[in-house]
Amino acid sequence: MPPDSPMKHDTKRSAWNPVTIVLIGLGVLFIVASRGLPAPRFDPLGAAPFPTALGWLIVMLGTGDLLRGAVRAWGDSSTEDEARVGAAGTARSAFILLLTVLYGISMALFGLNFAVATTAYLLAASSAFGRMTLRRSIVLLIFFPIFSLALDYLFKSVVYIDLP
Amino acid sequence: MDLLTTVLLEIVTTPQILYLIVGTVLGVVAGAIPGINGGMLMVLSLPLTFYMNSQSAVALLIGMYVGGVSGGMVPALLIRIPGSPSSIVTTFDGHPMVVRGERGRAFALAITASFIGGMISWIFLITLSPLLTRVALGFSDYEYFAFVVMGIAFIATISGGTLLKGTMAAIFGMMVAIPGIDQVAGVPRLHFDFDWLLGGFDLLAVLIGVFAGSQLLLLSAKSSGPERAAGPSVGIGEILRSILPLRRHIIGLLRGGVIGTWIGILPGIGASVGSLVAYGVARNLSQEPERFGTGIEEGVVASESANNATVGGALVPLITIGIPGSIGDAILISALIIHNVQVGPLFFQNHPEVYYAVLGSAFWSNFVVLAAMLLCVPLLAQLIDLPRSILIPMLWVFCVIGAFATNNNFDDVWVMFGFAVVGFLLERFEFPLGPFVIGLILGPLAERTLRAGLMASNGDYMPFILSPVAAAALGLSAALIAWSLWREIRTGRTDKSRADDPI
Repeated sequence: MPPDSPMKHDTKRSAWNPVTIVLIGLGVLFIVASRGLPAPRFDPLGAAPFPTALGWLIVMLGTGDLLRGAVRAWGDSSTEDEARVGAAGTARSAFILLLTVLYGISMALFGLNFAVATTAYLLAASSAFGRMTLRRSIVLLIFFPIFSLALDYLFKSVVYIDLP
Repeated sequence: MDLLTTVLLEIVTTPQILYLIVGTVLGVVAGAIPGINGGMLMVLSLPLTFYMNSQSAVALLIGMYVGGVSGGMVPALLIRIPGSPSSIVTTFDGHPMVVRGERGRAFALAITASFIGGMISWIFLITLSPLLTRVALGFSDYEYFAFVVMGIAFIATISGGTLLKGTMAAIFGMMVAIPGIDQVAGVPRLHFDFDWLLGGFDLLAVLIGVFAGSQLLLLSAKSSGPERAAGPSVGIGEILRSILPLRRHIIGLLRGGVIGTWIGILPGIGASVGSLVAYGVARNLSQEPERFGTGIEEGVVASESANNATVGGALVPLITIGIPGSIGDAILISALIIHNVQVGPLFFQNHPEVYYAVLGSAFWSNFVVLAAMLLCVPLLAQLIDLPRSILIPMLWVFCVIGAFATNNNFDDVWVMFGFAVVGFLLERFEFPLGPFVIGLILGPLAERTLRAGLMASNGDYMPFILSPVAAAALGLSAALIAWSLWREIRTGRTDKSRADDPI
């Protein structure tokens, strides 16, 4: 593989991977919740053992992952810069997601018309990337309403799928 | 011969050919846009298939699948950014060729290799499938459970990331499929008193969230640089002029196609692994291995013939035993589930028309890709310039529509958002998404076959080991896990990921 191949990508190094911790918590939840399930009546196994086994497996593997992370982190102190670099991108992703959730809420709770909500969302989300020039703004102000109305027509009148 | 005639004519004599053309062209377009891929397009298009018949849905989705793998070559060659993970290896030698001014030659090689690789895998598909189906008819729940375990073991160890994280992602996927009504005993379980969870998480909402939503979040996080990544343009004429002098690559084309097909047949392994293995073999067999990575034609041939061949290879386990050979196949299974079509040994017997549609679509999509790529490369090259700030919000709209359309309620939209975050976090913390998706699809099958097998044996686990086929599959799974563990320990490997493979 060439030395600067795109297959090599950045990795973060941390002792306690938060996703691993959440998965261990989920495993414990599965083990505990499965105890309340009824005993088997029709088949030898019943409803509880499979989720219980998955719970135990993920707890064991997660613990192994945490231990390995702790061993690896010994002597490794170069995580701050990487975290700072990733933070800006994550914040932008979170903001776009927030806008998209608000877009869903505007239709689910406030009954906003699909085409209107979609146009407003598209304009807001495009602006959130911070690269709006006057020319692009004018083009998008024309393009997004047409796109939204076209979607509305396509789904409701051509493929007969209900829209929010 | 009858099978061959039916397969080849079934699609072209019905409107399905239109769906296939539309799907393939859209797949090529999606593949040509960095950050978007055929899998994401397939997931977002699933709601459109609700009101189609099963054959048309299959034609549309297989077209997208094949087109998505091929379209990735455009940005890979022009700007050294793979449009899809399957094109990563194409960048090694394809882009240096373009930089040297051999654009037409690079595209001619890649397009022809894709076509020949796809056709080789189709020949394997149509010859192996009926044989394997006949064998699979004799399998019981013991063998199926063992195959499911093997599929999960394969993808957990090979698809990307470490063994621990791959296995955890697969188990997490299986756990997501648990809440709801227990399919054997009929009792509600693990719904935590949420009424909306009694039916379980909607499969489509989870797939859209994990597969499309998470990629859009990652794309948003990455798109801080200049939006436009203009590369050199390429003309149709220079590609066509370079096609004829390709005869000296026949051995390489055949080798890449065969390797890609067999890699594709292994459950859960995607096109990027196929192209990487074919590339490695071509380099090892070459008399000038040191030239690989500098713009050698054999490198492009190996990569592109293998990545397209994995598609046909991956369809073999799907239609014979119902185990998805890749994530694209997992999405295809989801579409068939929505259409009440069960893949596996009885697939041909119960739904011959859909079986023919799968085989016919896999065949004709290669021709559509060939035509689309030859005619549209200059246009596809322009797609690389699409501004992300416009593309990402528009794709989010399709995610919302897709999640809502399944059951016409917003609960699924919130589930989709939740799993978009889950997928984003999994990728961010180096848990591969492939095992999660395969675990989600295979989890219910694993439990059902295990419990049905135990019912048949009155609770005795021994038949799972005494059946030769099941024992071989379980033994292979154990060997694969042991080998993966040994390799990680031996190389002192940390979490440095291998090729990430979302499809």
